[in-house]
Amino acid sequence: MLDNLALGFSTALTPENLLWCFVGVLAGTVIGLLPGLGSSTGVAVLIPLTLTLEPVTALIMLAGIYYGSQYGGTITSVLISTPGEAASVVTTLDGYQMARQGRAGSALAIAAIGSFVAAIFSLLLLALVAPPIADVALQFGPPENLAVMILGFATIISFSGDSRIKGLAMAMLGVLLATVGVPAAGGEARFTFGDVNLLAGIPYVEVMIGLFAVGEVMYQIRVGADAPIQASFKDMTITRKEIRQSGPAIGRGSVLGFLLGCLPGAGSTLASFMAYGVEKRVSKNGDQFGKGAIEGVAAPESANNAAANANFIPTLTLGIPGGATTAVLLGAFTVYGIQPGPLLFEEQPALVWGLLASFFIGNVMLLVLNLPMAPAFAQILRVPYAYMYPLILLTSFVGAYSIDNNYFSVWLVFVFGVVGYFMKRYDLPMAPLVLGLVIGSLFEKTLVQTSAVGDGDLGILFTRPISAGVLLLAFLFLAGPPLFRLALRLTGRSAHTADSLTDPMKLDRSKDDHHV
Amino acid sequence: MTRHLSLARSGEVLVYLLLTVVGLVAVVMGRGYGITIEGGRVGPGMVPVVAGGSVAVLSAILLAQAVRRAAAEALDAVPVLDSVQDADDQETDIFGRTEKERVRQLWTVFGLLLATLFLVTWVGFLIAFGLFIFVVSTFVEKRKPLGSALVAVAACTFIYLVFELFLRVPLPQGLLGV
Repeated sequence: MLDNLALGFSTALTPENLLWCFVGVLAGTVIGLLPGLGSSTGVAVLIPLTLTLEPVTALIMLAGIYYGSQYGGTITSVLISTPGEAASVVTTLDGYQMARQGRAGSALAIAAIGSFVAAIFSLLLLALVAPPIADVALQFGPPENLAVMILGFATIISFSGDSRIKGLAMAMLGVLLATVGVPAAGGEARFTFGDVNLLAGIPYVEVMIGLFAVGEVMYQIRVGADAPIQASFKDMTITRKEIRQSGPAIGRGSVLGFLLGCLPGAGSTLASFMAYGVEKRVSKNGDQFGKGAIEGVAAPESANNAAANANFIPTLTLGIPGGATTAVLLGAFTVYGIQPGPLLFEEQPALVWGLLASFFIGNVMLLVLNLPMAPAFAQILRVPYAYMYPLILLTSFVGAYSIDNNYFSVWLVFVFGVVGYFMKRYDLPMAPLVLGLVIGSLFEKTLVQTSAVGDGDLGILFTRPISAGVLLLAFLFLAGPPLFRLALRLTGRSAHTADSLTDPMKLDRSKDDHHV
Repeated sequence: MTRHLSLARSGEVLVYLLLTVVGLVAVVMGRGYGITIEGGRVGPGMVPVVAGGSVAVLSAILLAQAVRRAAAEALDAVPVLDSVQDADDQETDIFGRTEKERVRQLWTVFGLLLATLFLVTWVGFLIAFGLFIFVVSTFVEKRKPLGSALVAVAACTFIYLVFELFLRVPLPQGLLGV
């Protein structure tokens, strides 16, 4: 591992990569700050700008945007109760209350410290476990890969909040959209209606720009905005007592975030909600949660950063995205002609380890930037949204056009902007749709291969031990919570207890009217 | 308030209805591509049929749930007091806009965006989007025309420098060749 890390640091520490890493984390922080923009949007919109860079440099910058926006998203959660990032939604519960009590500085500081500790912890684990997982994954055949993809769907659906039906419907819609164009196994083009632009399928970077950027901006216009709380530089102090109080929460959040982030399909939003829920139950200060408890900021912020890094395990080793943003990053890999998967560690060690090493460097940059500078970043919120959103729309459309210099992309962004708006409006989860769209064609290809291996019999999935085990896990994710609830009810536990134990996403939703 | 809920529900019902239809169309078309090929192996129609069928069934369930909720709300909401209705409409954001105004603003921006995309073929990308920024900032957001014009010009200049000159992306030109 040390040799690999040395190779990684020698790649990441070149002046060019350091510069783009800095640009990435800075842009990520700003993107995370802006309501209506998130890491998925930021990465999707900025992919075209990286086309002239070396692949490793481009990925270092895009990954910087990803974890930089986790920091930026916290600032708006705390100061205006509007999460810039879905993963920061739960931070609004206590972070905004702390800000109202004049403790915005403590909230922002503990979020930055917790995020940094979690990031470094999860990166060390990532560097340690990713290569062995890639080695194991090299033994996988089509049935095992298919089972892992099904697990990804099961995970993302089971954590789709209040409605698993909505999650499943959106995942299937994503898969359906992925069937447009010439099938992976060859043959007649499907659902193209004679349009040559659709022969290669629906390009998902454009879809994501539409869903996340245009859809979000439109939704922000619809819901209006809250007045910001201003934090000054002198407020950026945190007491030793607060750090001591937050320590265990950061530790628990980091571990939980990492474990959840490893699962294909489980993004950092889920990790932040679960960490908050767990912390509320185990903390001595549990009754203060929702009223300005510092642990209520420390735990979810640590968890979302740990999960963001751990998300790279399924993405890099299996080629299956951990969450929505890693799905966009997966798209970026293919734009640069790189195929993520178990062979990546063998074929492109400088790229993989350079990327991982850049995470360490980027997180140090973020801590240095965020601890003293959060109030300065918050000044961006003073730019009137009236000017901001037309500029975001302009950037989205020009970015989409520049991917292929094709005006068809612009229309796709508009259409999926409308789709994205309605999805937000009616609380339809976007992450399952994105996952379905991104891995849909790979899913079909693997399904066709599995069918060929089994001579038309898909029962082969249940006769091979690894695929059967993974499918059992997928079944437990989907059927476990309802069965557990049923068991608790039968044994006389209250419905509320059963619900709160089995569905963390329901946690305090009543206090939180933000749609994610 | 009730009228708002009903409107929201009717939109929700339409969305689920549309998804159900999309799913059904996918099933019908997918069957034409061949669900299985020789040896009972997965054919090109299998995934569209399964995914489309799932979308249709699940959306139909969501549709039924939305209709049931709408019916229950309609029963609960017999006489709606005008004052309650007005109070709900008067809920404003920090810019003093009511919900009704925000919805109108949203559809105006959507309409202007659509018009801009058509305008690109006539006047080119930069001019069309420059006009979009100016019109949205000045007339929808009620900002001063001078400030809006400066923002529009600065944004288009920035995009020109980055995309046309630096990245060498030939942005669509209109009849004026700009």
